[in-house]
Amino acid sequence: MTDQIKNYLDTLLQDAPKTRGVIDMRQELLAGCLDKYDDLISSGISPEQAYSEVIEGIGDVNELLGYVEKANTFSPDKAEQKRKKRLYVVGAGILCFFIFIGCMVANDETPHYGLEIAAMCSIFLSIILIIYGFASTKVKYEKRYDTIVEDIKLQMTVGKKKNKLIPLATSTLWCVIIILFFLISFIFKHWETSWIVFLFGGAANAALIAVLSPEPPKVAFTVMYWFLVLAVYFIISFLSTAWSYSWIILLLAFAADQAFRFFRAWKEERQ
Amino acid sequence: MSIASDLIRGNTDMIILSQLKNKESYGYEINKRLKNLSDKQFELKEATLYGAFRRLEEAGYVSFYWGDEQTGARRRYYSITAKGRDAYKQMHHDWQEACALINAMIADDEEDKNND
Repeated sequence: MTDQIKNYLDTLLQDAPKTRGVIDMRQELLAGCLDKYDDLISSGISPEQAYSEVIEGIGDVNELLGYVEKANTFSPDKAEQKRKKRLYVVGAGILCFFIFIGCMVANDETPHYGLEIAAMCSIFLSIILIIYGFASTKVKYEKRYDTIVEDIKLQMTVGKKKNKLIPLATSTLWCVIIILFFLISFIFKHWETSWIVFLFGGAANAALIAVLSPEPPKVAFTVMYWFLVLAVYFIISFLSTAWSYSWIILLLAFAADQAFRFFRAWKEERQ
Repeated sequence: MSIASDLIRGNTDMIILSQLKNKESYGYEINKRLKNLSDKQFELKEATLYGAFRRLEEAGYVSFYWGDEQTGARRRYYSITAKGRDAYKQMHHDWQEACALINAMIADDEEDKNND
């Protein structure tokens, strides 16, 4: 009879999305129904009678689904707030980046130690702000991730194992990158440029996630691309010291990115 | 009984918080206690009960953890938070005030009838 209760709940919830909220709700409902059923049986009621009492006691599941959905859906207000926050933080990061270029250009014309320090500080701040801006506003993505994990949990595929690898792999990667950074810095004594290693690290991190995820997030490729672009930009700039022109690389990269997106959209459109 | 149960259902949150205020518990246990306390006259529908839990959770009035039952399904245990205790006190106070007011108004009503 307990199987019948399980089946009844499954039929009741078959159209509901397989989100964490719904899965938790099913679990809680099932626990409640089974507790009640056992209790009724031990009070001497026949299994058939107990079953129908349990089913009757469930009530309107749609009412409950309403709460779960409400808790699960992302409130547009919050999304708007996040978007605004990202706009400000990333904007501040981009501003810092232009300050960096300004310092480098000025330093080219009239070299000064203070300008170099200001340039280093602003580029660090810029990278931190941009990464923080994107990382702190990824709530929507997390939700989707949550659902994917739940789906995988349901299907018991190997994907779950792969997902577990990601945090381990990324932390190992960053350890290696930090060691590399210090090695390169101490050997070549070019502290003002050796931090570019971290840009390659960012690209490698994105690549790792793309490879290990059962469903590679599209954003991983974009992140990887921009880290590489930045790395190339800084390498060329430092080698040529033509800071007043090298920023054109970023424009070119942006144009290339847009062209690629356009090409992909056009291909999808044609299919 | 149907009007009475509608009235009761309007106060589900307060009733659940009152059940949790001395002891953490799970859905069925609370419902069974309510059934016994009401002398088998009242029992919440499962959907109403768990809906209330979600609402209380979202308001930060209760927190939950999963039990580790080895047989059957795992239970979701709830306990009241400090915020929940404050909310309960307020709800209880409002309820008593409303009761007193309604009683007073009904008494008035009956006096009117007697005067007629």
